[in-house]
Amino acid sequence: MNEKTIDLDSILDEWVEEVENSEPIKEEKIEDIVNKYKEEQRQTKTRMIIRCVLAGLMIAMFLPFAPDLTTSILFVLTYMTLLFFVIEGLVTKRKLRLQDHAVTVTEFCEHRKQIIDAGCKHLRLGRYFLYPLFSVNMINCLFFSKLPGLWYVSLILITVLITVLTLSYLEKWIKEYEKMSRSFEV
Amino acid sequence: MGSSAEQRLLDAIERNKVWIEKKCKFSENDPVKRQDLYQDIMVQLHLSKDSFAQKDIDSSDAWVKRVASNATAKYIRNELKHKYRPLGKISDPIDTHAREQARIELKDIIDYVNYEFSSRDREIFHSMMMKDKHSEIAIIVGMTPESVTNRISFLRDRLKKHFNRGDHE
Repeated sequence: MNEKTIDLDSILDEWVEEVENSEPIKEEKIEDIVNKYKEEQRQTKTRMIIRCVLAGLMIAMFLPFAPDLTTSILFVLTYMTLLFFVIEGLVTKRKLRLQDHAVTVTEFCEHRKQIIDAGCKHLRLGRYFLYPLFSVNMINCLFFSKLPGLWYVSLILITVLITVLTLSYLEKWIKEYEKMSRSFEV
Repeated sequence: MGSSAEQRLLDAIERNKVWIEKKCKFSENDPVKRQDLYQDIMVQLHLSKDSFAQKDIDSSDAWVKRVASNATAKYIRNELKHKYRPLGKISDPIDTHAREQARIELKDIIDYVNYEFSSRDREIFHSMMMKDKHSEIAIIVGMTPESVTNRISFLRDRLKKHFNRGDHE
């Protein structure tokens, strides 16, 4: 029998030595780090608000051209549903950010997985509402719009663009949470 | 937040800065990513200050270490588990000559600890590498010191077993 065994202790000593000899982490003031973090958070929040307002404005812009009241209501309903799921997604993000870190690592990972799974479940639920609503809206735009010529083409293009962007964003979000959930499996 | 509690937490962060730095170094090889991890830990410590003030904390050092450990666990799970790569290339060489040539690199051990150990085991292992007392590790991971001792010996055996696997003929 030819047995080759590793010398674990010497490898671990090598590891310790490597860590001790590695270049030190750049010293930064906690206040600076926290301010940088707050600024990033503020920018993310602003971007999200701008996106929601723009989507709302677009809906409002097309409302006068809707052929009937049902279509208008559907437009608003789609926007409100979208807003609801976006807010739910942001709440999950916030929960993850503010999760209590001062617990044991096992509790922390279990709790984090619970939050991620709940958020993911919610977004998946969003699929059942948003896909049909966006589909109906698109059909409405294609067949029932009162707009003439170029305006009609622009409306179709914008509706298709918004639908594709929104739904791909939703799918991206779901995939991100699914990935996170997998990585927190014990 | 009461200023005395805030000051106590800031003092504890200051006291444990070297520990946090070491923790980052054991968890991430890349200096740039290490810096990000360090910043993330600092942000989490800052965010935890309100609950630190509300709870009756016996040891602010243990608080800081737990927060740092969980921020690290989160980082490793988010960053590394996504890029999972199957291990065992070194442990399963088919060619005998290649097997003799194969050298267990430090990197393989680090990868194995990061990819294959549970968060708690990784935490225990890193703390052991950082020469923390078993009683201190026990507080961080929520076990008894005896269980920590047993776990360390189990983890060392697991590493040895994994890296010696396939070397018997």
